[in-house]
Order: sequence, then structure tokens, then C-alpha cells
Amino acid sequence: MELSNRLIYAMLGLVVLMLIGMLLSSWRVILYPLILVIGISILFGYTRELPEKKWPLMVAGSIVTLYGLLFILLDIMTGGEPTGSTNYVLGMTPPMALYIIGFPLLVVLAGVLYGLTFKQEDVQEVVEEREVSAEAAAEDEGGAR
Amino acid sequence: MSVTIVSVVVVYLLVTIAIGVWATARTKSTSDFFVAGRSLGMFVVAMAVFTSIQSGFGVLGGTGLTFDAGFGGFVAGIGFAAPLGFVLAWFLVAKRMWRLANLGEIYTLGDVVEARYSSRGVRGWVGFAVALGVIGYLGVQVQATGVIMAAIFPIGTTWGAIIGLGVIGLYAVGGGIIAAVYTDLFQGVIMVGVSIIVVFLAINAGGGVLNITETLQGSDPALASPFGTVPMLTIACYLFLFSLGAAGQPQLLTKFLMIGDTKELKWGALTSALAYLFTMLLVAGVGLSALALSIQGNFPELDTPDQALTRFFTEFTPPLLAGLGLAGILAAIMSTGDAFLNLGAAALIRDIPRSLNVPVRNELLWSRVVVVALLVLSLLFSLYLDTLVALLGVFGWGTFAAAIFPSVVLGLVWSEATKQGAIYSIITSIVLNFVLEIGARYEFTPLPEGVVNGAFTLAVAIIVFIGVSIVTRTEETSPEVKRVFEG
Repeated sequence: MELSNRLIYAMLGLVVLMLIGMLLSSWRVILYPLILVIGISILFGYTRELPEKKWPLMVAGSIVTLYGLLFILLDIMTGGEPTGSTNYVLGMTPPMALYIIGFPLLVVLAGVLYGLTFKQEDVQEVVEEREVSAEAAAEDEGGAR
Repeated sequence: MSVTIVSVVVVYLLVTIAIGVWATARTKSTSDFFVAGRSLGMFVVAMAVFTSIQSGFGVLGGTGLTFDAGFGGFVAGIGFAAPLGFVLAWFLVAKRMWRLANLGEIYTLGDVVEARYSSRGVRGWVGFAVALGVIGYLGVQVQATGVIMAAIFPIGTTWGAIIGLGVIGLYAVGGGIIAAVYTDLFQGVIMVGVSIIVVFLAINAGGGVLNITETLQGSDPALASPFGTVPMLTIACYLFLFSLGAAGQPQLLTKFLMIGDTKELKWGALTSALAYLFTMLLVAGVGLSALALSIQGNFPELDTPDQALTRFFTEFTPPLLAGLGLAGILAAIMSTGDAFLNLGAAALIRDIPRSLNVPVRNELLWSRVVVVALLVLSLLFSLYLDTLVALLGVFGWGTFAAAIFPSVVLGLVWSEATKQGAIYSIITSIVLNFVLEIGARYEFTPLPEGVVNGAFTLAVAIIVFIGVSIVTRTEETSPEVKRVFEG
């Protein structure tokens, strides 16, 4: 099965799960599959490199793992009471400090990883590919006739 | 209002007009009007992405929601998810859209889907969804412009809206997207600069972070938690709708068509996400500080929570900064407005006519005419058909997310997606959003309490798109487009 098919079917399964979560009013059944959907979205950015290279899995895996850890920790911290405890971190309640620092930091990390793994493409290369494809298509049509 | 505040806002408005005049001289073709001749650099595109998403709702409404329900009112779900969505959009489609733009005259989302699916029908439905959203969004921006202008100048909201729209018209009609993106750049720099400075003033006004936290905790412990008084179910829905949904916003996606060289994509995701996150500092800082001050009895009485930001600027910051802050709010509204004017012109002059096989001859001229018409119509709607604006406002973020994320974004990453999948998912998104949002106004709420209608619709639209595509998977993709699917 093609890689993009596998990714899209995995996304379908996870979104169905999220829909069930909405109907059952279970935020965990929405949030945790969403983190995996984010990982799949990142992998879609590397379908040229996959499956030969493993580093795209590490990029997506690191973001998914860190987001997973963030929400598991928050889930544990706010389990008993919404503000966690009476201690303060940087003047905030511990869950607030964790969320307000952790979530944006992971957004920034994802942006940095995109930039670091980015491969430039040549405009001319794409235009030439387009011309070759068009010629091949024209030949196919001619042959069919 | 102090002379300094008024002067700063007047200077801001004059600069945007000057940019418009400069851009008008550079706009000579349809390509210039819709995709800036595919000549934009990373910073301009990244800031334009950020400012076109960061609207009056984001800064004014966001601060109001934070003032009302704590950090979870806006920032924890919507405010943090949107920049994540920017990054996901770059991962998912930035290169793919750029490659597609190299296939020919690809200026609009309609052009994108027609090239992708070889279907005029999908182009028409995308154009229809965009047009509905544009009219709704514009109506709301017009009303917000009137309120802010009336707060700054000694005029009523009607004249405020007319003057505000006049300024947008002066730069958006002639300069098209070139005017829009360069005014966005100017407006974005103001927003980020003001946000960074004002967050410190807000914390200081609230007596420091610890004092703000203790005050909120004393009033309601939930207000000091990351999710405020908002249920986690709603937060989870917001995270879904505003992360993946951000990648489905047309004002974001079309920016990828404006880049000439792929190297400009490299740091765009990080730049736009950071800029948006800085404005979230403002929203969270002012919202929570104002709430703490209000609990202590040290904040002015507000008619609505949406006034929290403007009152903070006028009461708690020096006049120069207050002027910049109010200009920043206007910037957020106007930058979203100009993006939607351009999208509206694209849908009405290019996408819908071409889907009906009646292309418009002089697209540049008629696009300018349509921009004027949209400005006048949105003003008339907001003045005389308030209910219609409210109804069309339903076709905002949620409909764009549900209609465009599957058909455009997933369509570009999955080669086996079909035109039937795209059309059925767009129709599902429009109908379901309409039924759920309008139904909610008449106490028809079939979903469990706390579930966000837009998130539910997005999930259903994705399932319909993939499901129908699997069932109808018989089509061949054109060889030219095949290369586009590679990440």
C-alpha cells in the first residue's frame, strides 16, 4: 500500500475516534488522537524522504511524544483540582506555567524543525519536469490513437 | 480622546494609504492583483499569513473572552492552536501549492482545485464556499471598524465604518494583493511591537504575575488554571478546529501561490507562528490583568467584555502607546478585511464564472469593480441588515476549515482523492455548519454540551471526503499534477 494511503487511512481512523469522543463528551478521546493526527500531518511533509529515511519519523515522533507528555502531565496535575497545587512557578500555578511555556515552545520547535529539514527546490527543475510530463502525456495519447 | 492618540492613528491610516498608492502603480495584471506576480519574500508572506488570520476577533474578542473566562477563554484553545496550524500548513501544503503554482496561471484556490481534480465543479463549490465566508467575515470586520473608529474619533459608528472602509478601499481597490500584503507587513510589525511592550505594562498594572494569579485564585480557582472556566471538551474541540482548521483558511493557503522561490518557504512557518504567539501574550496579559484588576475593583465598568482591551489602552498606557495600540487593533481588523476583499474578488470574478464556463474578459478591471461592490455591500449589510450579517458570520472559520481543509489540503497530499469526495465534503460542511449554527440560535442543539459545532463539522467533512474518495476511486490523475503530491 502506498505511504500516502496508509497515512490517510490512519488519519481517517483517528478522526472517526475523535468524532466518537465528541458524541461521548470525552475530551481525552478527542485530544490524544488529535496529537497523532498532528504527527501524521507532519509526516505528509516528508513523503519524498519516507520510507527510505528514518529521520522524518523522529521529527514527527518527537513532536507527538512531547505534546503527549505535556497533556498527560497536565491531566495528572489538574486531576484533583484545576490549579494543581498552591505552589507557584514563575508566579503562576504549576499547570498554567507548564501550559503557557510548553505549548508555544513546541509550536516553535515544530517551526524550527521544518526550517532545519527544509530542502530547496529549483523553479527551473519543476518547469522542466512539467514539460517532460506534458510531452509524455501527449505521446501516450498519440499512441492510444 | 487625546490629541496624541488621534494623531498616531491618523499617521497610521495615512501610511496605509501611501502603501496603497505605491502598490497601485505596481499592479498591472491579474497575476499582480491576485498573487503579487509571484514575487514575495519570506518575511512579507509570513507576516501576511499572520495578520490575515489575526483579526479583530482575535485581539478584541480574544481579550474579552480571556477577561470573561480566564486563560481558557481564548488563548489555551484558539490562540495556541492557530500558530500550530500555521506550521502544519507549511508541512502539509507549502511546497505542494508552490509546485502547483508553477503549472500555469494558478492564482486562486479555485485554480488550485481545478488543476488538482480536473473539475470545474470543485472549482465552483470552492468559490461558493469562499464567497459565503467572505461576505460574512467582511460584515463583521465592517462593524468592528465602526466601533473602533468611533472610540478614537468624535464620530458615530456609521461614519467610523464608512471612513475605515474608505481607507481600505483606497489601498485594496487599486493595489490588490500587493497593497494588502505590504500593508499587512506594516500592520503586523505594529501589532507585534505593541504586544511585546504592552504585555509588560499589563503585568505591571496587575501588580505582577503572582499578584494576578492570587487574585484570580481567590475569586475562582479555575481562573488561575490553564483552561479557565471553559470545559476541557470545548478546549479539545478548539485545539482540533483551530490547528488543522488554520491550514484550511483560504487567506493563508493562497499566500503560498505568491512565492517565487522555494527558499522563501524555509523559515516562514516559524516567523508567522512566532508573530501570532507574540500577540497572544498581549491577549493573555491584558485579559488576565484586567480581570484581576476588575476583581479588585480597580478596572472601569465595561458594557461588554470586548471593551477590555480598548479600555486598558486608554486607561493604563501612555497616550503614544495607546495610539499605537488602537492602531494595532485597527490593523488587525483592516488586514483581515483586505485579505477577504481579494479572496471575494477571486471567487466572484474568476472561480465561479469559470466553473460555469463563462470566464470574465478583463479580470483585473472587474476584480477592482467587485472589490468596490463588496465594500459597499458589506457596509450596507452591516448598517441595514444586521441579522443577515450575523447569519453570514456563521460562514467564517468553521466553514472554511471544513470545506477547504479536506478538499484542498488533503486533496494535495493524497493522490487518490476524487472530485466527488471534494464536492460532497464541501456540501456537507456548508449544510452542517448552517444547520448547527442557525439551529443554535433557535435552541436546536443536537450535539452534547461543550462540543464546538465547527469541530464536529470538520471531523464529519474529513470522514466524508476520505470515505467518498475511497468509494469513487476510479479516476486518473493528470501526470503534470502527480509530482505535486510528493512532500
